[in-house]
Amino acid sequence: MWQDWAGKAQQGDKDAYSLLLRDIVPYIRNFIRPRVANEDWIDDITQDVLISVHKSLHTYSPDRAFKPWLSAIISFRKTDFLRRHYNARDHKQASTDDPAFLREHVTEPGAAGEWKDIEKALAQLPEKQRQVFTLMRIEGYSAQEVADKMDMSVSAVKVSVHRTTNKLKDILE
Amino acid sequence: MSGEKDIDTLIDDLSADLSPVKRIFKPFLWVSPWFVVAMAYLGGVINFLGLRMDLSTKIHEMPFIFEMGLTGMIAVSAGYSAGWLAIPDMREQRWMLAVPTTFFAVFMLFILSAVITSGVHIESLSWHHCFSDALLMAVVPISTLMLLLKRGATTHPYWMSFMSVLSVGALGWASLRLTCPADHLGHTLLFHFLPFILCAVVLGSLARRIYRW
Repeated sequence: MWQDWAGKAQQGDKDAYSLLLRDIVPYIRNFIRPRVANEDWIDDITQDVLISVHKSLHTYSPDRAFKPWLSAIISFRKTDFLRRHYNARDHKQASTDDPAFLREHVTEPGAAGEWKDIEKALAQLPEKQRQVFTLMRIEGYSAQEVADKMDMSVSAVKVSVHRTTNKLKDILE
Repeated sequence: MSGEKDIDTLIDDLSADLSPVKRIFKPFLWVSPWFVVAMAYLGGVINFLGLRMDLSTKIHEMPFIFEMGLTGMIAVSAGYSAGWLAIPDMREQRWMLAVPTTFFAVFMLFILSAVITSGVHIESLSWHHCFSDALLMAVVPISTLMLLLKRGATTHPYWMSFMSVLSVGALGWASLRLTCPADHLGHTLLFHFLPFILCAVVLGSLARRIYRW
């Protein structure tokens, strides 16, 4: 059916095109859902995919299956979206004071206060150790990036993070 | 729910914006005119630079025939693979990428075996006309191929860049072998091969921007 609608859409049939786009939305969403961490992103990526389908409609051949063509676009746009997102590193900030955010993104919003305990525990650590831990475990930098930033070896960074984790466990228990 | 509303609005907008499209029916046929243009251009450049004096002897040497045949196969297979890469799912023919890659690997082994048997005498790093000849041979084919491929919708921009440069590089290499009488590897690697490596580096670093859609 998608094949047929896409073929008609290529000839300018707006009704078939509208039917096609509406029909593929659930497929796009189901494709993306298990592959992204945030439910909000699904709509953003779905919109990107629909625009991409529109832009690349001329590359589809109606004598071939539609799903592989669509899946390639979804996969490409999903990766593109995640790359843009993580490059911007806007995933590193989250406020534990925002109840709406907690409801949506934290499994146990009631336990969010624990973050403040972690902050207190972190404050007790030596400056360098705290910095290394924050960069790697909270801000999401890789061991190599932290090593470059802090002028340390990668193994020293890993050891430091491991020790800090154990120390935090001791403090928080 | 506002997300669904946005999507509904978007679908309405896209449907309203629809007009009949000129379909890329067969990538093979789609890329073929580029080969004609590239070959005609390279023919003109070869004519302008002049054929090497010993060509009548060279075309009877087996390694030379093998090298020219191999570069020809690389150029054709990489060019057509680039055409297939312009389709998001490559029409499910991903195996095609293995063909030019294998030919290129054979070519590199051929060069490596020549390096081992004959050695490499690197020439002094001064400007040589072969370098500019190589760039002259590359500029029009690569630009026209890029313009053509930009009409597609690739989901593999890096592969696309690699295949474009491989195809143009192979055509350029073969053309230079027809015009330049120098056979030693120091010269060919430095002045025939390096310009295309530089093209690959530039195009590779800009791949995502160039083939954005």
